[in-house]
Amino acid sequence: MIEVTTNFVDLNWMNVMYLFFVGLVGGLVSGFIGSGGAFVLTPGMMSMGVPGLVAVASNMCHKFPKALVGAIKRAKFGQVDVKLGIVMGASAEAGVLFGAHIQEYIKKTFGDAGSNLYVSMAFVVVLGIVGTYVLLDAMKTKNNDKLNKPEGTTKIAKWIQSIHIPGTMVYFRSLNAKISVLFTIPLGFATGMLAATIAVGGFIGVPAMMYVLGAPAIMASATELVIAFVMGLVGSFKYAMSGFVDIRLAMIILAGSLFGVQLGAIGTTYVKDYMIKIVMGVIMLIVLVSRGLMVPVYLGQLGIISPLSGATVTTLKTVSFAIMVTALVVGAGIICTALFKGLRAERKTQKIVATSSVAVK
Amino acid sequence: MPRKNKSLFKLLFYGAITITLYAGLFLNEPIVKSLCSRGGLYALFPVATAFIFSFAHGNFTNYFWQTLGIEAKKKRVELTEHDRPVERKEIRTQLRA
Repeated sequence: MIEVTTNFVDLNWMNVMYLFFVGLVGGLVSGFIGSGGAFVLTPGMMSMGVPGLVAVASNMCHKFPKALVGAIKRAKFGQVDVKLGIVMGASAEAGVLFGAHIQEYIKKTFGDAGSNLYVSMAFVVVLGIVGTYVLLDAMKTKNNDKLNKPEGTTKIAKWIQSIHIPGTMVYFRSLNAKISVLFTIPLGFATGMLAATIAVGGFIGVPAMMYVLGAPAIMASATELVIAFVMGLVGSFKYAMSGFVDIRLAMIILAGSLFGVQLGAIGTTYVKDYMIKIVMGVIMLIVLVSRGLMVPVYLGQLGIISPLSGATVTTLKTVSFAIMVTALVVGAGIICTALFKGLRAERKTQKIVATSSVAVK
Repeated sequence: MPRKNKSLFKLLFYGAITITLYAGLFLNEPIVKSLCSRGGLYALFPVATAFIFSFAHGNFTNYFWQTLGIEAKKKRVELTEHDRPVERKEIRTQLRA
């Protein structure tokens, strides 16, 4: 185990500032949509020379305290369904273990390029389907909101809420209904599997809670933080047992991300439900483009298509990473704009309330 | 404003703890590195560290934004009362002593 110490890189100020900043932006997005940021942090750390496994482990070790702080903050706003979070978190844990096994198997059979291709394909397929659906739904909800139509529950959520399986029925606050716990198991499992594959389980967890179970977007994204906490805590412990967690990296990212997570959580109190969906859908689709660019590189490395030239690979890698960073920055931009607009409106209202004794309508 | 002073005091208090924690972590880098790489039951070290840091720094960041005046939207009874669905029944007991 002594040679593992060499896995822990020496830090310089540039690296520290970079991690702090990415942590801040990632935290802001996480606080708002329940997850995010991880997909930029892991490759970012690896580009500093941190070994892959240490990058994943350290990333996870900043994720669970961040999710905890975010969940506590959002619980104060009454947006968290702790029961649903813990139930989904338990099955997500099983999903993480299964997903990690698949990862190991693919790595053994097809090597690094194979596992990179698998991860990128998972990104492209999942984000393509879910991201498009979320964004279309966001537009629909936005139009409904203009017409003052209430947000409807999807057909599948209505069906699930109507099924009664004796002995498994649990009341969930976010759904305002009793549903069978059995339905949450595959959803949690898929969340965990995705988390083990692309490091962001929330891209399945949040839409699943919204569309399959029927939770409002704000509550779904807040509850995802509980799931992320459960997954992150167990995962960090598992990696730490093998000595892969570099606590210095984790704490530098945490330093930035706690500023962000507080701000993102505050932001949710100023926006309508559809804003969460818009931010989530936009980030998903931008990240999808970023990972899609890398697919030909891995296909070439595996010999499925003729290998690309070195210069092309470098260009694609750089562009892909830049687009990923763009995804986070765009998300953060939308959140900040909504937050500051809301704050301004709130201050105006407060002034009116303070200067008039009449109730405001 | 007493509330402002209170949150400023808390901000400085948790800020001091956070700075101390970070200084402690980076001044003892060799020890921290070796504790992290041992594995086994030493796994408790990074996990416990993460919890302690998140408590201190989480509170610090909370008061940081609060002191800057960036706070969550306040729920106003007057504003939300009208948004309720129509089917609210007015239940009033009339006490006539």
